[in-house]
Amino acid sequence: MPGPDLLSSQGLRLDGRRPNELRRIRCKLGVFTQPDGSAYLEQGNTKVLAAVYGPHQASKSKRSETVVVNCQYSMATFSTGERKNRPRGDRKSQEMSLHLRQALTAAIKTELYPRSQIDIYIEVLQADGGAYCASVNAATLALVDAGVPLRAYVCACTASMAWQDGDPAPLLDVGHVEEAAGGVVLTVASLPSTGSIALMEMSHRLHSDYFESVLSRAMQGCRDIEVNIT
Amino acid sequence: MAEIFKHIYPSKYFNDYISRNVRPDGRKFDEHRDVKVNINAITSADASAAVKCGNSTVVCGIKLELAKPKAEEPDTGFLISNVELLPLCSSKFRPGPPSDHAQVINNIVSDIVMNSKCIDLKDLCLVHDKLAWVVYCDLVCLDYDGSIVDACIVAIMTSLKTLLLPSVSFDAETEEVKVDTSARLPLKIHGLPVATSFGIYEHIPRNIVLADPSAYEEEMCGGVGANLIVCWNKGLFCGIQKFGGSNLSTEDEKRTLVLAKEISKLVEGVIETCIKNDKVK
Repeated sequence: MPGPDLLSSQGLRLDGRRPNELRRIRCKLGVFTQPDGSAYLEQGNTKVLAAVYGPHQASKSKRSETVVVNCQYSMATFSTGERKNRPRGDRKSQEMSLHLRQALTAAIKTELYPRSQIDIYIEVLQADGGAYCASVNAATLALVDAGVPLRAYVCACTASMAWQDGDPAPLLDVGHVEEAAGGVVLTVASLPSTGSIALMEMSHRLHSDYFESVLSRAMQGCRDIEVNIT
Repeated sequence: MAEIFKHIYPSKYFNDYISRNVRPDGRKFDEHRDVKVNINAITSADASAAVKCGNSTVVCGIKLELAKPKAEEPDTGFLISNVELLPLCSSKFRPGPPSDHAQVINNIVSDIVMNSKCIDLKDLCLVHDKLAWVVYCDLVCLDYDGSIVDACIVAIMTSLKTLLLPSVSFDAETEEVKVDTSARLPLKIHGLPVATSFGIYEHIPRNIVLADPSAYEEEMCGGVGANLIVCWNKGLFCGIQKFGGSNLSTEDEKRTLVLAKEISKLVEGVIETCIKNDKVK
C-alpha cells in the first residue's frame, strides 16, 4: 500500500499537521506600485508573488471577441533545493502557465473586454510543494486588487491519500516532503462559491473507490482557502 | 486630475515641479529614498536578502555549488551574478530573453562586485585544481521604480555578508566529496561597495542633478541607462559610470561625489544594523 509512513500512529503527518489541516496562509494585496494589481501569498513555506497588468490593448496577432488572458509562471533560481537553471521557458513552466491560464479564464468575465489583453505574471520565490495552488490563489487576489471583474474566486488545493490502521484518511494540502515520499497528489482548482471545478489534475495511481473521498477533501480545502483569503 | 495631466503631458508636469525646486514625490534634489533591508527571507537559498529603495524592490538569493576550477586558474573559485528584470516588475519589460537593458545592468553589477575585490576568489578554492565553490548570486527585481543598480548592490552585498559556507572534506585517493552543512563558516568580505545613481535633467540655464531618481524621473532624464552611477567602498572611491544622457558640469560632478560618499555611509549603517539585529535574535 502506498504511503504507509505519511501518517504516524498518533494521526500526525510528517510536518506535525492533522490530515484535514491546511498550512498557515498569509497574504497581502497591493504590494507593488508598478502593476495594476499585485498580491503576495505564503502557504506554509511556499512563497508566491502575482502581478496583473491590464486590461490593455492586445497585440495585433491576438485580437479576439473576448479578452486574451496571458499567464507566465516563473520560478526563481533559488526557489528549490537544487539551483534551477532555467526559470522559465522549460516544459514544466509552460505547462503550469497553460494550466493557470485555463483556471483563471474560467473565472474572469471575458466577454466584458473584447480585443483586450490581461497579463498575469507569477514568480515563485520559494517552492515547498503546492506551488501551483499558491499561484492560483495569489493570481485571484491580484486580479481582485486590479479590479478585474470575476465570476467567482478561484481557489486551488492539493489532496493526497494515506492509510491509518487500514482505514483510508485523505490528507489536505500536501507539502514537498509528502510529495517526494511517493504519495498520490490530486490538484483541484475550483470556484468554491458555485461548487464547480475549473481544473483537476492527478498523474498517480489511485483506486477509484478512494477517488471520491480525496476529491471531496480537496474541494473542502478550496472552500476553506476561500474563507481564509477573502 | 494630476494623474491625467501626468499621462498626457509628462514633460510639462515634471518641469512645473522642477522650476519650483522640488520633485514630484516631494523630495529635494539631493535627497535619496529610504532604504529597507531584510535578510534570510528565503529559506531554500543558502543566503538571501530583500532590499527596498523607496519602491524599487530587489531580492537576492545565493545558491552554492561545487565545481572543478578552470585549468588556467587552478586556485580560484567562481562568483557568478545574474540580474533578472521580470515583466512582473514593470510594464516596460516584455516576457522573453533578457533585453539589452537587463544585460547592461547585469554587467554593471557584476563589474562593481568583482572590481571591488570584496571577495577573494582564492578563498573559494577548496582543493588546488580539483574542487572549488561556485557562488551563484541571483538578483530578482520585483518592482522597478528607478535606481535599480543601487538596490542590486545592497542586496548582493548583504547576502554575501550573511553567507555561511559548509565545510567540505575531500578524499584525494577516492576523489570523494563530503559536504557537512551543519558546520558552517562565514565568508571573508573585504570592504562594502555601495552605488548611488543620479539622473541629470536638461534645464535652462543649468542642468539639474537628481539623486536616486524614480522610474518616472529616469525617463525624463533621458531614459533608462543614462544615469550617472558613483560607487564608494568604505570611504574609498571605487567607481564611476556614465553612459550617454545629458551633459554634466565639473562642479556638479564634484558635488555628486561628495553626496554619494554620505549616502554610502548611511547605507553601510543600515546593512550593519540589519545583520547585527539578526544575530541578536
